[in-house]
Amino acid sequence: MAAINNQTTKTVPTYCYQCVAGPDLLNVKVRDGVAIMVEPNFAAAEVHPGAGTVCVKAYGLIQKSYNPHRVLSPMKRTNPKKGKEEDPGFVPISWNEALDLVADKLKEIRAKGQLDDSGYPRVAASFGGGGTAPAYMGAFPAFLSAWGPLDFSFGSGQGVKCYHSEHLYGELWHRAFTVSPDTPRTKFIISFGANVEASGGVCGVWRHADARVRGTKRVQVEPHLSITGGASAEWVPIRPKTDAAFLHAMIHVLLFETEHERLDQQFLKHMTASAYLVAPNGFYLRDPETKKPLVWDLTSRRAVLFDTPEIDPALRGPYTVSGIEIGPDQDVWLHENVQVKTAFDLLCENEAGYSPEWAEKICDVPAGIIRRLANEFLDNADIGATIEVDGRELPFRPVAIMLGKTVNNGWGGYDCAWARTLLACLVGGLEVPGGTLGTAVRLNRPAKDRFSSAVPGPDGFMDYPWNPTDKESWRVRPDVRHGHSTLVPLVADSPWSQALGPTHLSWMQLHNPFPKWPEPTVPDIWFVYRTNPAISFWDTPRISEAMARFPFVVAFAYTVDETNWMADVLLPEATDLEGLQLMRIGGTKYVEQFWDYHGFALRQPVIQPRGDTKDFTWIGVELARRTGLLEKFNKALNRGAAGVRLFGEGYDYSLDVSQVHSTEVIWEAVCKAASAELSEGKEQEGLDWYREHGFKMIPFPRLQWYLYPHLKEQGLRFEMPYQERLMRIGGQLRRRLHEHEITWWDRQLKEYEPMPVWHDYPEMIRKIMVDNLGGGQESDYPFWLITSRSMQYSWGANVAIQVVKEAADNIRGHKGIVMNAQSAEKLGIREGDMIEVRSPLRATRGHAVLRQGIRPDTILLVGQFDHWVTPFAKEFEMPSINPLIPMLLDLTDATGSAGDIVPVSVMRLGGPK
Amino acid sequence: MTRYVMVADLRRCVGCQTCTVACRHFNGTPPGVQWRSVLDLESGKFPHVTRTFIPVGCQHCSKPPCMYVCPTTATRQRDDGLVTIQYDLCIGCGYCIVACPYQARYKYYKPTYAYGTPIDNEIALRDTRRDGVATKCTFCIDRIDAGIASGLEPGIDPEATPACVNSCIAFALHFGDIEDPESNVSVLLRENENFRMHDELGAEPGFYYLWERRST
Amino acid sequence: MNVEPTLQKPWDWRAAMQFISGGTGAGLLFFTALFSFREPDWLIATGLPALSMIALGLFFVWLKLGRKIRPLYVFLNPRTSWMSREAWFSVALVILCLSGILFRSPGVVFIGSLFGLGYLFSQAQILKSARGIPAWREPRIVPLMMLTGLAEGASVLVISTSLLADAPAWLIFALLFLVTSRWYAWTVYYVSLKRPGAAPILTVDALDHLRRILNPVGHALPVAGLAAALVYSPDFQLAGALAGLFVLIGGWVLKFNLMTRVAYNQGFAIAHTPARAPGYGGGGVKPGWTGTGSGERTIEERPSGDFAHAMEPAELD
Repeated sequence: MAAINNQTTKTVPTYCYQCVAGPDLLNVKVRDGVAIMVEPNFAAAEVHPGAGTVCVKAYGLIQKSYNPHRVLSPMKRTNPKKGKEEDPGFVPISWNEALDLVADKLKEIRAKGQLDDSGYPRVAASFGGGGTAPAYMGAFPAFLSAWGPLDFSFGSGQGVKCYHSEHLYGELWHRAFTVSPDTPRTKFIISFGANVEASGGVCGVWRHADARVRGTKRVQVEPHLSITGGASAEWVPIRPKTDAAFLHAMIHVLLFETEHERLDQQFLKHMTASAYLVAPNGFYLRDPETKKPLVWDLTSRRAVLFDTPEIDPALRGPYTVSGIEIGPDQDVWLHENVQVKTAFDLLCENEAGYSPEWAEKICDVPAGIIRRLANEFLDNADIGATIEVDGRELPFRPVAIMLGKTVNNGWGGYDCAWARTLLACLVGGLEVPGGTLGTAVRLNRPAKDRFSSAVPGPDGFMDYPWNPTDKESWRVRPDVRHGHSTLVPLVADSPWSQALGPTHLSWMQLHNPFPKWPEPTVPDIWFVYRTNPAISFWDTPRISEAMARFPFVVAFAYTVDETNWMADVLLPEATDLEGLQLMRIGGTKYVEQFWDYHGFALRQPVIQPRGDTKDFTWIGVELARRTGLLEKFNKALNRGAAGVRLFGEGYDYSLDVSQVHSTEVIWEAVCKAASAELSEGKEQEGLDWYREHGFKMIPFPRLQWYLYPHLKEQGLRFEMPYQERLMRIGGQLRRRLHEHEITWWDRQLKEYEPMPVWHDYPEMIRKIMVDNLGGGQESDYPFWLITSRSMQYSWGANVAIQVVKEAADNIRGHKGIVMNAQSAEKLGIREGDMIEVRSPLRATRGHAVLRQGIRPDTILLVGQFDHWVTPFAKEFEMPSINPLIPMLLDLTDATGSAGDIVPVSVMRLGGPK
Repeated sequence: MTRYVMVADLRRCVGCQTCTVACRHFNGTPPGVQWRSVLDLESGKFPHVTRTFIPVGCQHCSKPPCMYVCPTTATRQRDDGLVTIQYDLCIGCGYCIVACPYQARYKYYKPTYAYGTPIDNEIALRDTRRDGVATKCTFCIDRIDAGIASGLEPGIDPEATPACVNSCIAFALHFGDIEDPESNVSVLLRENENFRMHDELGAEPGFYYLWERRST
Repeated sequence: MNVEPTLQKPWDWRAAMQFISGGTGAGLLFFTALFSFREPDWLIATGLPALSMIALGLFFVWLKLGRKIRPLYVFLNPRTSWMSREAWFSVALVILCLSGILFRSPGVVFIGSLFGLGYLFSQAQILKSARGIPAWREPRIVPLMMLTGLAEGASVLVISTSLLADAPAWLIFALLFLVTSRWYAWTVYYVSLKRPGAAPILTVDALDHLRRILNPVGHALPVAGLAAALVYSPDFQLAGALAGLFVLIGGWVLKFNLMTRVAYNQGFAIAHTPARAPGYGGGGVKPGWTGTGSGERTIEERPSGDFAHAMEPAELD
């Protein structure tokens, strides 16, 4: 019983945003200047979807602050050689010296020109995943904005560790960077490996716990029984990477074993493109004059424009109709009385062969289970039901399908994302209460909500900011090293797009340049913060080799780690509990963040910064000043680079652009502007108010959780089931690349199909690995190695925190390599034995953890460990999947993503410790 | 009369260990001393496997075996059901540890520290009275007593409620007075099927597990 | 924390030494007292060593205390704690026996030795009251601990008298009776824990292992030796002494194992797996215990398909 009621104890509100499932609003008890305890900010209980509770990771913040392994003063490298075996020989230096070192280098670059000979930015930066880093970077983004071109393409795991297909296709189809069930209302969820109990943060856990007790049934389809599987009503152990076949079979059941009248006909007819007529070359049949797609009206018995009022469009054809067809680069075909089918007809043709019996052999799941689940999905959809939200009657379809990582990455990811969205459409459950919802936008702009970007585009769909593929505007020279805007039209070009491009390409080409592509260069300066790609990406030894070639690396460092081992300068920032920053919170945000409020929360120094660490804002100001960018920096701040525009109607808290402003002055202005924004200029609470109260929020209408009413108002519809635009854009991209003799992206171009067709993805992956790497035959690798999220560690860069390890170790799988007990017995492996797991790339080793809750053909490595520098973590003896997976173009899908899965062999090496 | 009990809803718990860490925070226990923790229990044979997460810790039994065996009367029971340890009386014989069927008690001669040598928060929370004696979950007795003294209701008002309950992100842990038929815990127990762990041992634990909605 | 029962740690070899040394000492004290009515010289020859053994046992208790400056608090709870009672018995027995020895009064020593039996009984009850350890809380541990203490005490006296003088026949008889009784008590104890669901699997494994040593070494051999000593007395004094030695070793092995090898704790169990959706609850789970179910779900809707047909990686076999 710690005597925390001492007179000198105070409570300081702040936030934790160590992972994307936050922020969590917390209070820290501070006694005599020492932070002793984290607890929920109970004042937030009313406004927070998880009743104000705080994730386990936040409880690690106190140890994080006092960790004796922290870097507490700026350091510079004394060993000019870089490499895994080269001790950097860091020695402490003053901030003045450190900042001058960096500023001089920056000025040198500005003098040379900001782009190098290959046209790439000379300055690159990599920041921690999911946009968590900016919540700790204070006003530093204003410096980045002031600087100009930056290369963010050196990824830390994006694409291979995220919900990549969902991010890209989700934004296209329903402004869903991530997808969530309407958990508070849904009745039935099928989750394909989505480990929401580990990834959904407090909001996810709270909402799903409520749902379970309310009566929601969740079925978890995944190769191993995850935390989420454990908390589900059923577990269906599917063969890894065959989820697309399962989903196809579900669609088959709904299309071929169900009366179509049982589907949501109205939704299909009026909220999707199911009735659009498709011409012989695969593009929509269009009216020659308006160029609008045609549908067959059952009332007037003729083809009409899709947006003709009061029509009853036919879902099934064929019909004989005239019109034009527009292909890539505006190629036009004129058709006279040609027989055309509806998009729905083509959907049925596409899915005809995918029966549950067909899927059974692929997925290793009995057909009866697939059939039963498809029917439960339909039965629970309550088609026809409505519900009132904020005074408006909306369809109520309480069923949803969730997709997890790996399901959502690489080959097959498109199939799964498409099938999930389509299944929602078949029952009318997309973006309606109870159904499948998007959470946030990151590729579309503006990012503050999901609706502002949902404006009319062509053919009755929402507009989308594709990267251009037409001859005139296609970016033949990539702006940044992975060429996202050149290779991936779907990834758009928002500030987030670079991070969602094929980020492994930037690393790969440093070893193997791509033909007909600019000379791969290393950046002159690389800034790194809250990320450790030397651990978190694939083929990590090669990543380390690559970064050792970077001439000047500036790492904002918490401890030394595997990435900043290659750094030239370490800048220790006043970390989580020591810095000052205001953050926008609430509304709808990813994973399961659906709030009834939105507003701002403050992160403030709970304790004095340790050692000689500095607030990130101060670092940004100093770098701006020393590089002569102060005015641009201040202008960027005024424009909103610190999260809030400093002026608006009826208020102006803009900073004097010529002055150096202190951290407090900057955040005072930001706080006031935030208050004014929330109150339409009426209120102006400043920094002191936020310091005391922690957050300020106003109601967020629940109607805004759903996109359906917004689309309905604008006469828009979802771009389902037929992907005509994708096909056209893919065709254009193919032409552009081939015009420039780039053929190494051809495999990716094949994915631009109007509807996905099943390929044997597991065997494809196995074959690609063995073909590319040699090292034996496919049969030498009978197991699948997969990974799973650790709630306690993920995102938080908290692997060096003792209490986090202690908590995580209570959950099975954190101390070794998980495998099925029966499979282990056959190989003579007992609990705790040292075993080797070998992929075609290389091998790793660890202690066997035997479980029943994993398929006999599957091996599991939780989290991402294998540290060799990070203090504390390097003692774990815990291997990682990452060194075992190669970066290969052949594994990369059209979105630039690849799956976290690798075929392996397993061998016993010896007994337990 | 008042009888405080803990209720854990197994349907809700996902084993996140937030309660484990919140407890360590509030009570300042050393690494490895988890007065509250959550077990990860897998049962069945592939493919028919279940996984259950079970919060455990001192059950504050009505007939606490630990109390009966304690040779010094350091372990006692209050009228409100809380089983306490008077550190100054405890000789650290460990008898209560082997008497407890719930593995709820810990004893260490000297605490360990997260990083070998004590860091600031560990120094601030260091409690030498606990060295060499038995320790266990107190149901955050200080919070309860201070809360009641301030007119707050344990289990309802966070300031008067055990830290683990406050921290639970699944709303799986509940605390309250089982003698009050309208209390949160009484309502939960009335509306849901429940059991107590190792009930057959007769210690009458004050810790209930919910597992299913009660059919009406 | 492990879900399945794990070996208890707080009572280690020091606790075992307390039960070994104290138990033997109490038994020896009792038989010394009986013997000393005819041979008062033995009050010192084995009486003092018996007291020393009890004192040594108490010293081992002190060794494992977390707070070594507070041992006197142990007397505070004779109302419910057998450890307090043990302490009180030990004080009484030490005072009475020391006085008896000082004044060469077998009667006083005998009364003291009765407190010694109380001390021995307390030891047995200490284990029985340890509700967290299935192998200890089994009530049949009480006669077993009593009988082994007495047998060990008798065996020390048999050994001593055999070597220094002639062991009286009644003492050999007594030891034969005690070792046979101990075998019976052990068997009853063992069988009761072997019942399905009566103990953790690892406890049963450890008991099986112990039985393989205890029965031949601690029971069969001594019975044969003692029978020989009786039948061929007085030529087979050495056989009696050797038999006594094996009784003693058997007792010590028994107690050492009970404390450090057999003593798995209760572990954790649930009476039902939770209903992650209404209707999906299941049966109980008691991992690591003999004779328990596996927590299979009780309803029909569970995934019922046969997944087994293709789940093996083909190349494994």
